This record gives sequence, C-alpha cells and structure tokens, in this order.
Amino acid sequence: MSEIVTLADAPTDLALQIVSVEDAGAITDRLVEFGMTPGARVEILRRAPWSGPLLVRLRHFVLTMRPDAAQAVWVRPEEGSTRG
Amino acid sequence: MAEIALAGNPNTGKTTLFNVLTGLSAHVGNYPGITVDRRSGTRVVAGKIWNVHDLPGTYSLVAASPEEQIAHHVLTGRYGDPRFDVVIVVIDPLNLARNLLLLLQVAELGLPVVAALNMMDAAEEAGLALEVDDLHHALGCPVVPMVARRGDGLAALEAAVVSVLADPSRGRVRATEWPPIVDRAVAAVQSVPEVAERAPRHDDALWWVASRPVVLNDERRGLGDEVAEALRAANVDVVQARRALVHARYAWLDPLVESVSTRRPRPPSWTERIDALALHPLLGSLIFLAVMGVLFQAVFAWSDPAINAIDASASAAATWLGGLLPAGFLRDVLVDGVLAGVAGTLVFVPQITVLFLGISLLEDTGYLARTAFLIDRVMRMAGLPGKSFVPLLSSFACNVPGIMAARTINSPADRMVTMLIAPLMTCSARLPVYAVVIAAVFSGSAPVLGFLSLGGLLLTAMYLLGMVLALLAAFVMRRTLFKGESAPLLLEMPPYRLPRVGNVSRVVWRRVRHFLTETGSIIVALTVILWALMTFPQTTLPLVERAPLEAAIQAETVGSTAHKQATAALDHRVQRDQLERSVAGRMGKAIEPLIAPLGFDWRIGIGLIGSFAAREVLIPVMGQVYGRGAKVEDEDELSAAVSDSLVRFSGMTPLVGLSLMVFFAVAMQCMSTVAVLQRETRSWRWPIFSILYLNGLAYMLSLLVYQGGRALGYA
Repeated sequence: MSEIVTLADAPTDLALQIVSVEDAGAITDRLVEFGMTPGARVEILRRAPWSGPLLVRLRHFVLTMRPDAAQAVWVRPEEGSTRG
Repeated sequence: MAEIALAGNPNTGKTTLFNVLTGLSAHVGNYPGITVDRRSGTRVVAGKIWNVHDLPGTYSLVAASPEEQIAHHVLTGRYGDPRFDVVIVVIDPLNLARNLLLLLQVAELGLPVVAALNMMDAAEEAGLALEVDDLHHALGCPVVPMVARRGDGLAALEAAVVSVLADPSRGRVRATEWPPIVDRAVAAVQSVPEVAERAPRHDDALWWVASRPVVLNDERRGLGDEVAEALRAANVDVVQARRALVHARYAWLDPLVESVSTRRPRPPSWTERIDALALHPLLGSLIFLAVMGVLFQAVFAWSDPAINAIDASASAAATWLGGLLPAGFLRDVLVDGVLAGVAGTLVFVPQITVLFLGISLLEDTGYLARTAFLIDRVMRMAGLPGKSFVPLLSSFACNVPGIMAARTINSPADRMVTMLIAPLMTCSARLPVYAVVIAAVFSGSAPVLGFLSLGGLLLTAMYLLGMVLALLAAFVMRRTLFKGESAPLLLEMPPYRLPRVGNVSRVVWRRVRHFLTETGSIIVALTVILWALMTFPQTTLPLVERAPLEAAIQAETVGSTAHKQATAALDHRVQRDQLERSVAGRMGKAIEPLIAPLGFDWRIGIGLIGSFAAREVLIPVMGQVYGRGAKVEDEDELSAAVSDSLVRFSGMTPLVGLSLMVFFAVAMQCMSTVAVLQRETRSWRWPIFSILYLNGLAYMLSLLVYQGGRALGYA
C-alpha cells in the first residue's frame, strides 16, 4: 500500500502518516486539535466488529472514533515502514 | 486574596490536584443555566487566601460544541467569574503537544499561566525523559514537574504561583505567530461594529473566528449574516483560517516538544496488555457483559438489605412519632406526609450509592471509556452515544439513579434524550404491580407451549415493550426535539489506573448529598401534596352505614376473634369512605370516563393517582380502595387480597389486566422520577413534557390493547 487512503480504509497495525483532514463538521476541529495535523503519526490498533468504532493511536495517545469521522482523514504509510 | 483557576485536558489528574489543593474546603455549585458542576475551594499560602476554581476538563478553549465553551466562558468572565490572577494548566507530559495547545489558548486570553506537569512518575515509567528547564525557557512561563497524587512538587507549584502573583509578566507565554489568514479573519470580524463592541480585544475576536457557528448563536444574536458578509468581503475562508491557526500552533509546538523530550523504547505497557483482552471482539464482549452484570446485580439486589433496613426504620419512626403526638392533623401531616416523604427519599440512597460507587470505580480505572468503544455500535442504531448505556442499564433497577447517571454524558442533547427515555426502562418498583395483576388474572393459565409460564412471558414482554419504545422514542426525539449532529464519538482512552479512594468516595458523597438536599425536598413536598389529596376533605361515615357495623362489634365479646374482625371491618369501611370522598377519590371517579375505554374503573383510577407517590404504592392504595387490608402488615397477604379484589370489584379480566400492565410499563407513574428530572434539567419543562409524552403513549397503547382485544372477541 503506497497510495493515499482514508483512515477508515487503512489497514490495521501499520504506521501511518496524516496527509490531510477534510472539513466534516465540528468533529474536524476536534480531530485537528487532537493533533491530526499533516505529518503526524497514526496507527489503527483495532476495529470493532460490524463497522463499529476504530481504536487509533495518534501521536502518543489512544482514542476511539467512528468510521464516518475516519473518512475525513487521509493517510499514507509512514516512510520506510512495511506491513507486519 | 488571589483568584486561581485550574484548567487542563481530561485525564491529566486535574481533579486530584484540585482535591490536594483545596482539601475539605471544596464545594460544588452550578454555572447559571447549565448543569455542569462548578467546583471551588480555598487554600492559604504564605498568609494569602487563594480561591481555587476547577474548570471542566477540556481539550480546547475553541468551542466545537456547546459544552466546550464553558471553560472559555469561565475564563473570560461570561459567567460572572472574577478575572483570574493565575491559571494553572495541568499537563500530561506524555501528550505534551496536545496539552500545550490548551496552554497557548489560555495564555492568548491574556491570563498569566503556570504549567503543572502532572503524573511525572507515569511518564518516567513509560520511558519519557523531559528537559523541564528547556521547556520553561522555550515557553516563558513557570513549568513545575509534579505527582499531585503523592503531593510531590506541591511546594514548587505554590512557589511558582506566588512568583507569578508578585509579577504577572512571569506567567506570560512566548507569543506564537498567527498565520496571515488568521489576522485577516480577525480584522474582518472586528470590522462589524457590534462585534468590535462586544469583542474589543484581539483574543475575543479570535474566539469568534476559531469557534464553530453552531455554538456562537447566543453570542452572535443575529450577527451571523453580518459576520459572514464581512468575512466574504475580506475574501477569508473561516474554516481555512481556523485550521491554519491550529496547524501553526502545532508547527511551533512539535519541534519544541521534540527538542525537550527523549523517549526510550519500552515493552508493552499494562494498559496495552489489558486492552488486548478488554477490547478483544469476543473476550472483550464477555468481560463487558460480566462487568455490567455485576454492576446491575449490585444496584438491583445488593442494595436490598439497606433498603429494607431504611423501610423498617421508617415504620419504627412513624410508630414512635405517631405515639408521641396527639391524634389529629399535625400528627397525620408529619407522619403520613413529611416522614413518608423523607423515608421515600432515603429509600433511594442505597441504590444511588451503589450505582455511583460502581460508575466512579469504572471511570477512575479507565474502563468506562472502553465501554464506549465496545457498545457504541449497538447504541448507534438508536442514535445514542455509548455513554448512554450505563444510565439506561441502571434504570432497570431504578429510574432515579439511572437519570442521575446520565451526568456522565457530555453532549447536552444526548444527555437529555437519555434522561427522557430512561423512565421506559422497567424499574424494580413496577414488579409488584405486575405480580399482583398476574396473580389476579393469569395465575390459572396453562403454560405456553407446555413449559413457559404465561406470567413469566408477560413479564418479559413488559421489559421488551419498554426497551423497544425507548429506542423508538430516542429515534423520534433525535429527529424532532433534539435535531442536529449527535456528539461525535471521539474519546481518549486513558491508561488503566488503580482507583483512588479519595476521588471515588468524593464523587459518591457528592451525588448522594445532591440527591438528598435537592431532589429530596421535591419528593417530600410532592408526598405531602398527595397525602393531602387523599385526606381532604375529612369525612365521617354516615350513621346509616356506621350503626350496623358498630352493632356488630358490640354483639361480640371483647377480645374474641370475631370482635377483632368486626372492629377491623369498621376501620376498613371508614378508611374506604374517606379515600373515596377525598379529592384524590373524586379525581379517580372524575377520570373514570377517560379511563373506561382502557378497561379501568374508578377504583383503579384512584390507584393510578395514588401510585404517583411511588409505583409500588399502588397495592396499598388499592387495598384501601377495596376496604381490605389497609393495615395489613404482611405484604404477601395484602397482595393476595388486592389480586382477589381486582377481579371481584373492578371486574378485572385478563384483557383489563394486560391493559393495566401495559399502562404501567409506559406511564410516568413516579413523582421521584419527576423530581429528579426537575433537578437534573433545572426546569419544570422537561419533567412535565415527560409526563405528557409517557402518559399519552401509555394511554394510546392501553387503548389499543383493550379495544383491540375486545374487537377480537376477548372480554
């Protein structure tokens, strides 16, 4: 995976880097303030079943968010990282 | 005297620091118009009194939702707070950049700040080393490493605050540069005269630029169009400006944080190891069910001994007080009104204590945040946040603590919907009512499919009916009364921690005290009113009816069983006559035409009015209506007598019984729930709304059951 995808579609357990965050309402402000700024590190740790929330490590903390919000966040694999 | 505020992200140990600073002087109030605790206390440092104010935990002063503007409004004096001399910003060193963002925002309001780097022990454990001095030089304001839980660093924090009090310029933070688009946006906003007047300072206008329009409604008061026009004229995209501001701050903070911190690689933390189990799709769900099962069991069953003890003490107190005072109005109003109301308040305390003990333990350990991840998918179907789960679950034991538990929900709209649907959860007080009706008309029924008791099935159906209606009601309210975006799920998962006894016991004590003082007074008042309705006007039994009963007593030897029975018969007749002719009795008769289509007669009508005191009161009231067992001590005997009378006097058939059960499952038949709704929403609007919508719904459903059943040929 080298192309840019949304956080909702990105694979788990892969070091990712934020490319940009689209404006998707009030939640976007919060995402950016949480530190989802271009270049920040992010990783999907877990997905709850049946399109439930994502467990995401952002910078140095863990947060949970719904997949619809994750669709506003564009990411790409961090330089030099490989799956697994 | 110095005014000190404590600000900080959630999960930074801000509350712990507040408790350490203020100790026993802490007290809780409210901000005008909103139901968020406002905590303050005092501390004496070097002969000077500090008034310490604890702000609600927040990630940002820029408002993306109404509850987030509280901290901003407190700091800018919009709630009538004093101008703070120092703001202590409590910071989690493990998430330095995100925490410092808040510090920059506070400093931008022109307030002197002190950074308290709390939980340094946890940071070291996680392999983080910080150059505190470098951080201080980069920021400009004092930076104090500490472990508030242990009191470490407290003296240094005091010294830092004292030095800033002496010279506020020491609490200044090196200004970050604003991107040009932000300056242009601020200038555009300030070009509107009304805005310039209301937000003369740069930082005020900046807040207008940086906050979402949805939360600015109060502030803008119709200025939205003019501000939008000014921004358009200046060719500024406000969303872009807002984004540029945050990016610029992180761009300043990120290299700074990088330069002062060293992270050692470390083995997986306890939190990660626990989460591997606790958030596992299968195992995590099982753990979740077990935890919730224990919580529910504790509220439902383990508080029983304490409830029974309170009941017993209340009857003892009533007997004692009754014997102490001469018969008459004063005795009756004190014993049957005030004392009954006090007992009716105290009886909730065990469940409230147990529930909040459980919730604050879950919150303090960090597990409560995980439940949101686990249950969110299910709650999302009803348009509710994961945080509604615990309040709704608790409501199955009792709606009163359940509604109080909704305080943990941050979004006002989500919290309101949760509180308004909570009464539809079948609480334990409804069970005796169902039991009496089932005993009256369904006890002889053959088992369904040969092995399922009809009574058990009906009971299950009542639970399901409540839940389904609650989901429907939430769905409808979300699209009508509380429209707009539900608070999006975006929750930090704090590291697991051992619960701190001090924090937990403070939360429990605060909730219990709040309930006793605030809700208790309403319950007592409503109990007295209801007692008066059932007692006045005072009547005497007409001689025609009295004479034969008295003759019957005289015919028997004093002390014989027959004599006692005859005396009891007279007592019952007198009480029944009193109840029938009281205001409540007349109301019961007056509403008979209204409830007749549901299959209820006026006797059940009186029961419905009387049981507003508490659902379980239906049975004693019905006992009085039927002139049976007004003073029967044994509850089982009373229930049996009422079951029997329902059939004999009110002509209860299985269809009427079902109609009554449905009514009770849905109707708002509990003044304590009304009282707690009033206290939690701080208005009578929502409790009255809930009575109207729930009783209206109950009426329609009972009507459907009874008339539909009749149309199908059932009696």
